[in-house]
Amino acid sequence: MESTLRSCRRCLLPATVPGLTIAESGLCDICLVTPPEAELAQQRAEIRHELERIVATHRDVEPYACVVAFSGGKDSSYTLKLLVERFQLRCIAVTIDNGFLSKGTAENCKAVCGSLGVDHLMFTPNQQFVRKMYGISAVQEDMHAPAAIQRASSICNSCISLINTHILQKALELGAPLVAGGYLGGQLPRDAATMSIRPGQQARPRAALIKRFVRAFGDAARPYFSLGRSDADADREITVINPMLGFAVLEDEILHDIAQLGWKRPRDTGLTSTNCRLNDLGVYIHHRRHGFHAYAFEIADQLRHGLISREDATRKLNTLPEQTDIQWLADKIGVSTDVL
Amino acid sequence: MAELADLQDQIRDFLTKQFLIEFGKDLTDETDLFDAGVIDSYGFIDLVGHLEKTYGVALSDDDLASPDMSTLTGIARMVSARQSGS
Repeated sequence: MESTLRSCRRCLLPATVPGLTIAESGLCDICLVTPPEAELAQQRAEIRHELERIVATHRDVEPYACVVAFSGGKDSSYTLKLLVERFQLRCIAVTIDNGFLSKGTAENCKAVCGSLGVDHLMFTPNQQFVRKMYGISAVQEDMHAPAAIQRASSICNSCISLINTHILQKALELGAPLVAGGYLGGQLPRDAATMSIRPGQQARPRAALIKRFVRAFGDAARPYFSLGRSDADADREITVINPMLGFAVLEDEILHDIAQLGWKRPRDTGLTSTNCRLNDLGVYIHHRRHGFHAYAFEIADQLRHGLISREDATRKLNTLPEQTDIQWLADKIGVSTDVL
Repeated sequence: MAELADLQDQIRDFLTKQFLIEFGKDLTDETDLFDAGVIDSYGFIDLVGHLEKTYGVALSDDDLASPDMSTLTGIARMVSARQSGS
């Protein structure tokens, strides 16, 4: 029998999530099939073992073994630290400047890369294109696969697509066998902790994405989302690693460790981002449109793994951006708040 | 080993729940699920992981790039073929 509870008593996922059922026990159907902590710990250990195996074969690659999607936020900063200090990889950190990075982000990028001795690239895509992409993503409801609403807001999903593509483009250009992201559980499937891909193998979803984005954003979108400039590129094997999926680290531990690298928390990025000011607009629109917080799945996963307190989770889920901030951000991407 | 029709029903159930879609008027068993915007690159990883774990099959690079992987009918046919070792 279904419960009348408004959210799962364990992970706080709300009943407004499409397809989610909350049983009479008060647990959602995801919590009901989540293994006990000992088994989750075993799964994380297996991911770490697989990461060690992959990394061992690439440790000596020059100039770079790994291109890291480095937003300058807390999770990617911690990921970079793990890759350099624990896994001893030669990394290059790549940041996409979307025009909405907090002022503190550039300083954090410099501090973290400086402390870890890592080369850093900042890529600034055409800002007219980026704002158009954000503006259309904010108002057009079918920009992404229906299930993508579980991962992030529509604005963030478009941005993540651009970032992921750029990181793969950079790995192909530099001959790096690995790319890494700082994604957490709930942001993507756990199967994505380590995955070998060939651009040619993902040709069908990639072609569909390019077609959809070119239709929505115009021809200017093509170079930002295309891969595999040659047959050789299409056959190149690249291994994507998301090491955070193999570790259970409390947010406070992450903040403590990256503070040692000179990272400071920006004050202007809301409760759920530590690098981007536009994130709040995505959170606001997502909540209005779908009836749940864009970070609900990420926070739910952290609760199931015991990585966040119930109090902090509740505070994040219940704090929505201020209307004045929304107005300012909407203006910046040329969208009227009347249509949001 | 599941019969092809049963297999297709099981995969339909998975797609419906996992990708928040309904098969019916707009989506048929022959719809290209990539072109229809149902499966993106993360969804593809999810789908392949599910098929390999649930049905004990190993899908090669060529299998993943095959047009069969675009439709429900094709996916069921692919899994059935790999289960039978062809």
